[in-house]
Amino acid sequence: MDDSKFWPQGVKRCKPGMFIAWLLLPLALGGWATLSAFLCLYKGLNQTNMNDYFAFGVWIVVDLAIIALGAGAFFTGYLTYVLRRHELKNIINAAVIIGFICYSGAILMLGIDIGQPARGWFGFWHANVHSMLTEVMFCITTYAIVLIVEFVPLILENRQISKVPDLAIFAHHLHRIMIVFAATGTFLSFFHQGSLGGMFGVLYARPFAFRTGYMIWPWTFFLFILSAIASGPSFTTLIVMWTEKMSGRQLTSHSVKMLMGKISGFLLIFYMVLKTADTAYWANVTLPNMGLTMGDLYKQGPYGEWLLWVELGLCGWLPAIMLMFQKVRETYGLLALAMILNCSGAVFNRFVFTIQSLAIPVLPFENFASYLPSWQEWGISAGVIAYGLLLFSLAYRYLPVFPQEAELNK
Amino acid sequence: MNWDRRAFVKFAVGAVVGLHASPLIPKLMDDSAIWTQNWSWVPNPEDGGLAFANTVNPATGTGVRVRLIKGRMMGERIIRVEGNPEHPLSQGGVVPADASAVQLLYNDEVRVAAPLVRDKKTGMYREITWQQALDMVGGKLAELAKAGKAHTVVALGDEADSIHGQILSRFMAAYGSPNLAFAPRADDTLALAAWALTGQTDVGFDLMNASYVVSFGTPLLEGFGAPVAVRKAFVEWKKSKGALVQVEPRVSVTASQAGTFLACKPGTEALVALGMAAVMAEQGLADESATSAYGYAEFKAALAKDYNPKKVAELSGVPADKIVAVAKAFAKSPKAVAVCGPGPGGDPGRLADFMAVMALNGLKGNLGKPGGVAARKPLGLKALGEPANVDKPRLDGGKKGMKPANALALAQAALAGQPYKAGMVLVAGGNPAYAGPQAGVMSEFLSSAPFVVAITPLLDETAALADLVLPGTTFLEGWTDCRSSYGSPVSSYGLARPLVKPYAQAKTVGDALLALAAKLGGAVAGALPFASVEEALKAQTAPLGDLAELAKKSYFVQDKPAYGPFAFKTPSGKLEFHSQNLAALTGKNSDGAALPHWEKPAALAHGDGHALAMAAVPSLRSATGFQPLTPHMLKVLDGNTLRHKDELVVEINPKTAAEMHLAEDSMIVVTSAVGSVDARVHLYAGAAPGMVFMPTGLGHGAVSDAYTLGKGGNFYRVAEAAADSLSGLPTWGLTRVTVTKRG
Amino acid sequence: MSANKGEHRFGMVIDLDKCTGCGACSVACMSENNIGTLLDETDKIRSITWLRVYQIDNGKAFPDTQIAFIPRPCQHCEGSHGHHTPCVSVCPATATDYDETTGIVSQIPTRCIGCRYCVGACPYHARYFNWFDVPWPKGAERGLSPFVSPRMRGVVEKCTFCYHRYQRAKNKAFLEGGSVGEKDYQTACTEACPSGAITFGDLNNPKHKVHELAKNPLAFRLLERLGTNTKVYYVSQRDWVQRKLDNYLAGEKLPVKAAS
Repeated sequence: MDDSKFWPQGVKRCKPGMFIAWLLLPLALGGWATLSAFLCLYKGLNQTNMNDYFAFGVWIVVDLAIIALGAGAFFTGYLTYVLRRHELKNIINAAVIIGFICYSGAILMLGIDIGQPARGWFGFWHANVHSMLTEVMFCITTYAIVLIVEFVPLILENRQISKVPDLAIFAHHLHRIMIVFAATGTFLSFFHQGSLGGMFGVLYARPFAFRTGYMIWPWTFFLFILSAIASGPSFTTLIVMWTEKMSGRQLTSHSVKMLMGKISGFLLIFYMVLKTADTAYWANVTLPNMGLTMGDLYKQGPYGEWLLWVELGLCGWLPAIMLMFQKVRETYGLLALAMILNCSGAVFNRFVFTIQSLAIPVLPFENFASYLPSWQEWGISAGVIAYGLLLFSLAYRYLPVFPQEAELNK
Repeated sequence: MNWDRRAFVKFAVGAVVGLHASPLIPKLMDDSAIWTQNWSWVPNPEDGGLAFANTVNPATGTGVRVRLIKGRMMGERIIRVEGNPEHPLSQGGVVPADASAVQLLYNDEVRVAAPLVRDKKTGMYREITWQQALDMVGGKLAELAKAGKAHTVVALGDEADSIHGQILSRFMAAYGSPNLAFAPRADDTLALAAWALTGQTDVGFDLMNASYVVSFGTPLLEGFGAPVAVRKAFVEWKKSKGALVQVEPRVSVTASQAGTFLACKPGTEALVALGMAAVMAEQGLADESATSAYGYAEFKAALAKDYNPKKVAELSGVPADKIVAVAKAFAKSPKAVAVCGPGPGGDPGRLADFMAVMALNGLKGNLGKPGGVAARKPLGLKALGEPANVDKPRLDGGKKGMKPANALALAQAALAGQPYKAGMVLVAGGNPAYAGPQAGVMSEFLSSAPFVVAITPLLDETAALADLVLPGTTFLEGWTDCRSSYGSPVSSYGLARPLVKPYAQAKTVGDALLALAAKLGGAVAGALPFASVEEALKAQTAPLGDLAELAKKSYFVQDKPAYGPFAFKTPSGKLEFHSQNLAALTGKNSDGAALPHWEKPAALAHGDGHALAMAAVPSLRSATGFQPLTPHMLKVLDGNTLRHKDELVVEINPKTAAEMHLAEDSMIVVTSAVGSVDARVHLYAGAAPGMVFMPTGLGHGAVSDAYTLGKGGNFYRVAEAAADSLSGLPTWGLTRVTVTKRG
Repeated sequence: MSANKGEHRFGMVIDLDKCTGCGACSVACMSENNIGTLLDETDKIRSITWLRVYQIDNGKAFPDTQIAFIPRPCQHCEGSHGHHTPCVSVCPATATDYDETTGIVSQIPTRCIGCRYCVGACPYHARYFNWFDVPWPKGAERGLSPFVSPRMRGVVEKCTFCYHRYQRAKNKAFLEGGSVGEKDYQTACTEACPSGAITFGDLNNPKHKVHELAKNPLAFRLLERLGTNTKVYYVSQRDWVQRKLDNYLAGEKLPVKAAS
């Protein structure tokens, strides 16, 4: 079996057998996810270990995390098309694919996470304009459509597909108006990244999550945007680096990665300053007004203050400072490490806001309940990762994702 | 076609518009919305005309109101049992057992629909007709009678006073067996205690009008008397700033609400009462009516010798100064009353304990006075008639005609074949295989008896051991009645009538017995000349007026206690501290045996240092005795009662637990001389050290529904019942247990 | 949008010194509102109890231990302005709403998409998600009330202050010409309580008992400091019980004593 005629022009790919062998991993995970999804839809959410105290579980953490990490798509798009940073054209395709994977994956997951998937559209039909979640639903769905539009021309650029004249023209036209979509995407993304943060910040009866803010927007609204655009480019770059390791081929020049690292770093510094200020204000003003100290919220079960140090220190300030140094950015390994820490910080942040917010009892006489996801929940989560692996592997193999690849591997 | 930008835009717009113009999207949306609202497995209760009807729940004594819906398809059905605001005692309130009673009525999975014959080998049931069932039982009875073994038939009932209990009594007497026992109740112990000291048997405590109440372990707020009536009264009483002293070894709800809590060692409540009595006698605080009573000097001497505060403090753990203070306050309060029983877990209590508390009331001189001990005015019902005496030895060794019989002793004697074995057992109400007394013995007795008939609405533990199960009714679908509840100072009568058609072929216990009597004919039929329970009730309630009218109202309650001098029915004609009645009954007259006294509970009398004393946790959330636990009651049990799907939780004091290397949630086995049960530890600071407190009403086995089946362990399997030294009734207030780790 | 725009503000005053924790309110609520039983009801974080009765203690050792009970229905928050309850403001599908005319936080299970955002938003754990299809026993449908629809799996439900009773009372008042009086509209739990610990009525109506009771200096609301502005008041003379109703910093809360 030879699929080389589908490969992008001028590049080499591994043997089909090897590729299929690699795909067995995502396919196996996908099988696990399919079984989990069937059980959850057929038997209901009692298949999860979520409960009335942990109304949100690992799914929402994964959702928020991948949406934050997928922010590389809109932000790189914004820099590439709107701010015209042309060197980023070398990585924008990867960013778009990752964004598409993250957003469509998140939507698929949400479809299982809600108790009545058949009524998912009620959020649009009976929309409550006061709800941050409504904003999230609208923006994510619309942005997913934008991502499809951004992704389609890339698919059409496949060597064989582009031979069909009509499709080539279609792709061409789409390309020409891409700036419109990039701008739309940026606008939408800004809002829903913010709304996702707002979702937690507005929970004024949940002291752990609640934040004061500006007008109707709690500080988490802005912080989530910042942390998403700070970690998104890092995540995109990390995936590219991983693909390089897997394929043994350099895909973008190191300067592109360094630029992504620099963008990430500066945004992360900015984010960390604000996040630290926010945390200090919350601990010293917001919480005491509710009759609580920060210590009260970090004493339940495993949710100790170590979480704060890991999120803000190890995965916050440390990568931020690391990325400031040219030396670090120049070194492949250190750049990757800083980016991993940066992304972990974003994931940690989403985890803490989703899980710890709910885990800390608010009523003085309420008990701490513990939660560990069931295998079905892990299955769906693994499924999203498998979906990403599968899609990205196929895209890498058959689509001209990296314009520099042929050049760099001559 | 040429793809230029126009064509592209046209195509895109056309596709979107086309899709939206088609009915596809709205149709799918509409369908999905409707579909999720109409899942076939989500019930859709039928609407219909709403009606209300009053009745009474004999299990709780609560006056209730029922909501009925009459629909076209399903007919008339009860959707709710709620309080009857017109009922003078319960005033619209309910307890969980009332509010969830419908769940026992409408649950086809646990209701007995038709007479069932159980195959002894396979345990499988086979439906037969009522006619066949009556033939079967009638045939057996006739056969035994013919063989001269009529007296070997044993009957177990639930309430002796109810119409069904009376029919059962007459049935057994006329048939020729003396072996009839009802579920032991504290009412019997209280009646005996009152009878010993005053000769009266029908007494109550006028708590409402008392300004100072000392409760000796009485769960005033957790199941004392008719629980709703008691709490309605309690709230009113608290407004008048009355003082409540609670004496018991556990911080119960009552103890938490009491102004003074005297924490005593297990089983020493009555000892504290005698300590108080000693203070009153010694300091000349006893009422004049008491000092002139029969045997006062003897009692006073005994109090000074054995029950002085110092000695009592040592044994009970209650500081002497507190005993003295409470005794003085009790004596000086214008209207003070001491109240006793029922013990937790439905324990009928020890006669000596009850006598001690009654003696304290005697010393206070509050008999017949407002805020004291009241003699209840007779209701004026026309009893069906005293059953004939049966001239055969009773299995439990009780004297001829003496009520009540000890069901446990009866079962034990029958098991041993001393003086004879049971020829047949008729369980007419109740669930002795679950609730005992001493569930293990009762189960063994039922499994070994040659032929067991159970009349029960539910497929319960007793039904699981019966050879023939007859479908009984709940109070919502058949005639039944109930008398004044425990401790109430006023007499009351509750009447329940069928509000809906009985489930399938269900019959009330009385109707089943009447049908059987008709089948047997002869003396039995002669003793029960009623076509139905309704007719029997008509005869009984004739003095109260028309049955239909009374049934509609559902209750008769005397408006206030009958105050006035006590009519002492003692040999001396006055209050007797040295009870001649008791001496005659027990045959013991010397050594203070006929005086109010305290005996160390058998459970504490021996055993090694590791053993703990076990008592039941009184609670209105869980069920007591044979009353079934409803699914909704199970829902309100918290983690201090039941945990981890089906684990029973027992309370242990944190210090005691630490000494035994037990922690919260430790897996343990609680073992007594008669049985054991698995449990988890809950460290409860309010539990007395050295004790284990166990909830009741759990651990149902057999064929009970999926909600309650196997949830927790059965207290009555561990609780050791022993015949009280004075009353001969089984008591299970305290059990010596060992606690070992498992797992 | 301002507070108290409507004519009524239905609320509750619960006397914790009267409550004996028997659970009658909770069970009466279950039978009134067709609440089912799951096979494992010890799983309290998935079991549905619109009105849950919590047990608290004073933390002291034997024999100075004391216990008390806190019945917790939905608190029917008002927030800083009507719609701003923790839950109503977050529901994406308008499946829960703040009724400006009654102050009742409604729940429409047939519109709920089951996202559980409201469950997470409520600090009182008053909102319950149907993790399971209720395993009604055979025949149980005969005992169900036609006035409240049984819920399907995958939706959120909660205490509605027996809103269907208010609707019936309103209909009756309309037909008979008159208005809904205090006695005409009472919740199932209020009626059931054998200790009379629960009082229900219109907080805005001076003729209703709750109007005065809520003004008692001994009346506190659960987590009042969060600004949820609830309509369920708790009365207790006991200092340790008062302290358990909200979060306080060390040395912040002074006991409130009865005026008498």
